[in-house]
Amino acid sequence: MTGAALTGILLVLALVAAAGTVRPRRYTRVPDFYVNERAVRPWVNGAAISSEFTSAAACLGMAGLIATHGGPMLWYPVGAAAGFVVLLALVVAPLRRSGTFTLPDFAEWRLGSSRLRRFTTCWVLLIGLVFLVAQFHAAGTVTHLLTGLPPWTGWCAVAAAAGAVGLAGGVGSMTSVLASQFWLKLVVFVGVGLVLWCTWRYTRLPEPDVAGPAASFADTGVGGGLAGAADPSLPGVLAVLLACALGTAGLPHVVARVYASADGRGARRSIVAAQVLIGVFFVAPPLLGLLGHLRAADLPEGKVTADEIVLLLPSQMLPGAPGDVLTALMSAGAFAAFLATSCGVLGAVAGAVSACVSRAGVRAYRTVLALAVPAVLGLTAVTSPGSSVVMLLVAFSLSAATFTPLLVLGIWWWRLTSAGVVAGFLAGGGLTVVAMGLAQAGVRTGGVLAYPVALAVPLAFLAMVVISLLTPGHLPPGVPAMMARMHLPEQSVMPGPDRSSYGNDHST
Amino acid sequence: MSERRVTGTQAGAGSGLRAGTGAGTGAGMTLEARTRAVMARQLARGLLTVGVTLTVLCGLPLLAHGLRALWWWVAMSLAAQPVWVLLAVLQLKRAERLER
Repeated sequence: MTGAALTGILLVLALVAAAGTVRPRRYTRVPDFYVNERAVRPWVNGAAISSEFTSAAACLGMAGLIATHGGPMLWYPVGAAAGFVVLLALVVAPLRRSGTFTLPDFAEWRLGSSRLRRFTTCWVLLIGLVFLVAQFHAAGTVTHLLTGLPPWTGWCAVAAAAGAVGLAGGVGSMTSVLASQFWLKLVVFVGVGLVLWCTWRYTRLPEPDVAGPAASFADTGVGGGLAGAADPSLPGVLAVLLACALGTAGLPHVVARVYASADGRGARRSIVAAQVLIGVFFVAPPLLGLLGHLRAADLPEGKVTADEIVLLLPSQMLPGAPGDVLTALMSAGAFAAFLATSCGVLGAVAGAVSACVSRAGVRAYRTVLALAVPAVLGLTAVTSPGSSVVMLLVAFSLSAATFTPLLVLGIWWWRLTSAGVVAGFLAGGGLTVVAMGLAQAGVRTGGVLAYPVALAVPLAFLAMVVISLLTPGHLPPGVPAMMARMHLPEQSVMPGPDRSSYGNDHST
Repeated sequence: MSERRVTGTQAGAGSGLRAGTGAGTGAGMTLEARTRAVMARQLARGLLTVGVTLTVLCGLPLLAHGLRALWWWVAMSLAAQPVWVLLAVLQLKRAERLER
């Protein structure tokens, strides 16, 4: 199994590095860097968005939680996919038409405050770091489990490949890499899931007592984790679903991809494409999780974490060469997942931070990216590995309580002010950080603080609205024009060249 | 990417734009009035989609809570994905129609 898994991992690393770095394009202007010469087609952009979204948590963590924590975890993929409907309904087209590349760009453009850009950049950095550390830890765990190598080899492999792709290409060239990674993940995880399911169904392998696990499936009484993660109680599940549904709309790397579409219409279609692809991909976690749950009795008790269960399934159900081949495929798919999300988040973080600290454009982007990779490696080294789903839910909860209110109110409400945004971030994001800090420190808060998202999101909206109404003097100039730009179709506001043309974006 | 720094004045550069002559809009409508009209229609539609999504999302676990059969849970979780796709397609069609 070790040799097969190592081959799969190395193959994916080599393919990704080659696809992302061969024929690197030269960029002289920021828009060139963010999009290709031609805007990306909806299905390709949809695949790239799905690729960034299907991280370690979607590929391994969700199925692992279904296996270990039972039926209530089946709703996690449902909640994760629902986030795209919210993104489509309230955010995507106006955001694309605004012509801003990143979330801090949008904040500065819409609220007319460079201080707000710096403030929101800190939050992008925080959310991005949580995402990256989760991917690196998952890569370390998988490498150690399948090959016996120390976890840091997995971290370094992902860091090197993601860093190389980020340094060599812009968002345009990264799109093709991400899209190809998604097709690989889709084929691998859904394919292996179906093969294992057929194996279990038709070959009548030593069958565990289905009635036993099935009967206990609906009420596995395992305690919950951070932000309601892995909590099978109804409030815990609802809190996670809310975080997923509302958090997706404010994820920095998903928002950054919107700019790869030609216009608002293309951006909407990209999200619908992503919705379809994610829907197909999310057949895999319930399949694999259910099989893992049925066969959980065969696993060494207490020694296997949620992220590892899925990877052990093939060799457990099909000993010998077929199991090895499937394990190699899954390890390749898992690394494609780590790399896709790492590339996307690194790009979004580097774009936001470089714009904040320097005026040099593409060179600054690459410098920040080169500095970010070792920083994330350092953070990974000083933190302990946890379930990828738990870590990602922290990021989703933060996003739901900060950037989602900013985008929704910034797009739909004329009277939003920068002071209101800061208040909302401090109220919603601050509450989430405090609640999670207390949970991490072992303080049993109970009540609403155990599920911070349920309180933090309404609080963030409320704070933004109330403080904005109290600070009308902070209203930026030109709000009607901004609203017209975001909400009216490109050709009716700006006859002539398409607004996606470079002259009309927010670069100087 | 600080090249992208924008000022309020730049952001408002489109203030001199005239409203286009898209179908369904009054010829004499100002840009702001037209924007407000489009926004109201799009927001109503968007909130309806989000409302349905959140209702289904929270309703499914509540509904399943009373069921003990494993296969019902699995079937319901898988059946939700086509529902999201359907809602997304309906939202796309409606939003595009509202902009015409």
